[in-house]
Amino acid sequence: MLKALVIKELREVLGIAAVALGLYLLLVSGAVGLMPVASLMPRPGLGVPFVDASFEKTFALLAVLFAVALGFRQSMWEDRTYPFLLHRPIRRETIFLIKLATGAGVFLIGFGVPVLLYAWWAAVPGHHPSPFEWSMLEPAWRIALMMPVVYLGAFLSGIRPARWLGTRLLPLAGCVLPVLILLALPWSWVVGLPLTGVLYAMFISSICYVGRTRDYA
Amino acid sequence: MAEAILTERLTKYYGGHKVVDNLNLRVPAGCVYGLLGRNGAGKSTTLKMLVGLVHPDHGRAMLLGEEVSKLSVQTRGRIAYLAEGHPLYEGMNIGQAVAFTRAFYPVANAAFVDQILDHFGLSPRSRIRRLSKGQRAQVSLALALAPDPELLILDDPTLGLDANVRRDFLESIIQIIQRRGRSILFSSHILGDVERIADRIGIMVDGVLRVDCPVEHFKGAVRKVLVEFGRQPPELPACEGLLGDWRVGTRRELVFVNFGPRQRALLETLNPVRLEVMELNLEDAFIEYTRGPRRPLPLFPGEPSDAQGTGDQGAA
Repeated sequence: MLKALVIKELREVLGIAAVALGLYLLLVSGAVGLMPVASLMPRPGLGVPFVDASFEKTFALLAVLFAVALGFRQSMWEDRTYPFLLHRPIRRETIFLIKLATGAGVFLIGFGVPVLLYAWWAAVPGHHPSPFEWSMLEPAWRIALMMPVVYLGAFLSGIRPARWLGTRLLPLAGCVLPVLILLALPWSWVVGLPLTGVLYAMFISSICYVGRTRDYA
Repeated sequence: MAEAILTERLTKYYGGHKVVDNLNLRVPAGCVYGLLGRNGAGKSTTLKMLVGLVHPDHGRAMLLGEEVSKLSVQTRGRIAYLAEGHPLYEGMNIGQAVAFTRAFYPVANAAFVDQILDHFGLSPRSRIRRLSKGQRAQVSLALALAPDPELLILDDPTLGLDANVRRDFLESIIQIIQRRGRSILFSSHILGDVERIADRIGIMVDGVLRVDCPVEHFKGAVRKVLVEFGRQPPELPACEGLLGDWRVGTRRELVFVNFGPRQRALLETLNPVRLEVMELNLEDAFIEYTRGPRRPLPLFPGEPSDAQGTGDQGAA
């Protein structure tokens, strides 16, 4: 039954994942100078891959949009079909945890594959006139680590009942500040990783709580 | 286990408004129970509370002997629920929807589902989003029956279906009933459907379960009484069982529960010219029972209104 749930979730987010992956690949193609459309795109890091700050910003902006779209697609868009799903003989928390695991997995693949492709291109000697170290990917991995928090914030906003849109979006708005702070401050894995873990735990437990206790009227 | 469904003082508020009020409902095992009521009477909320989609503010509900809030996964697997409007995953085809549903129930009867789909002429390759309302209802029923449930809870399953599809759908439900020991609780607006398949009905009015009895008993209990006076109708004294009282010209139209010799004798004291007691079918009985105060419609301004509502006299 877990497999059936995962397949169902994958089927539903496939469109969003495909669009995000397409945009990322377009961006990477532009960055490696493969596509003429690159002239329309920011051409970050063409000299030094992963060093140019505009590359990180563009990747992060796309990641925010990708994470928000995924979060809402899996929560708010399910509003009509919750009555079909939630009375099944399975714990409600399990349903929501599978949704989250699938969504986060899709995000990480959609984000990680283009990053790795770009890194692979950068690692091959002769592609660009600058040194490359795998540690230069750290900003990208920070984004990959932090953006699931935005995804969880969007998911919680989508599932959480509220009187009007403004209050419904509070969880999403609430996750932006800590994510921005963690992205902007000089990174330390010793501090950043546990803090991010706390944010994950807070949002996941809130989602399970809301999913279990709210009315699906 | 005597009851498939048992609720005790089940209550739900929405924004301070009580939509289900101290509901005590008993659906015996093997019974087909039709839950009736006007829009907003609290039927859907009740059914959603039974399947755990809505949490009651007070009271408790038991399904197949277990409390809903603590329903085990095993017991949940013995219950099917058909939600109002037949929500299904639009991105799936019928075969995928069947496979998805079947994955939750180890005892799912694949051959039975295929038989139902075949009976309805539905191909597993048909996309859900391209199905008509009737076909969606048929798919929903097939999916609900996949685990061979002991208890079916159906929320207005025939809403929006045309007469032919509805008949087909009901025939299918009748076949299910004929399988041993199945209990069904369904809500509906279509009284003919209820009359056809229900053993027992409940009528909710403003969140309160006003009627809970066998269908025939209800039909037999509600009577319309036409009292012609040939003059200005006199005021009516307090009368036991009087549900509605409308003045229409020189006569009064009265609706009674359990109209008997005592009520007749009381009306005779008003010296009517004619007193006629009318039997009602289920639909008329339901309408008379649940309608609010009638007011004259201002369709022809300028004409003297000869139908004046005096309002309900209370419910039984």
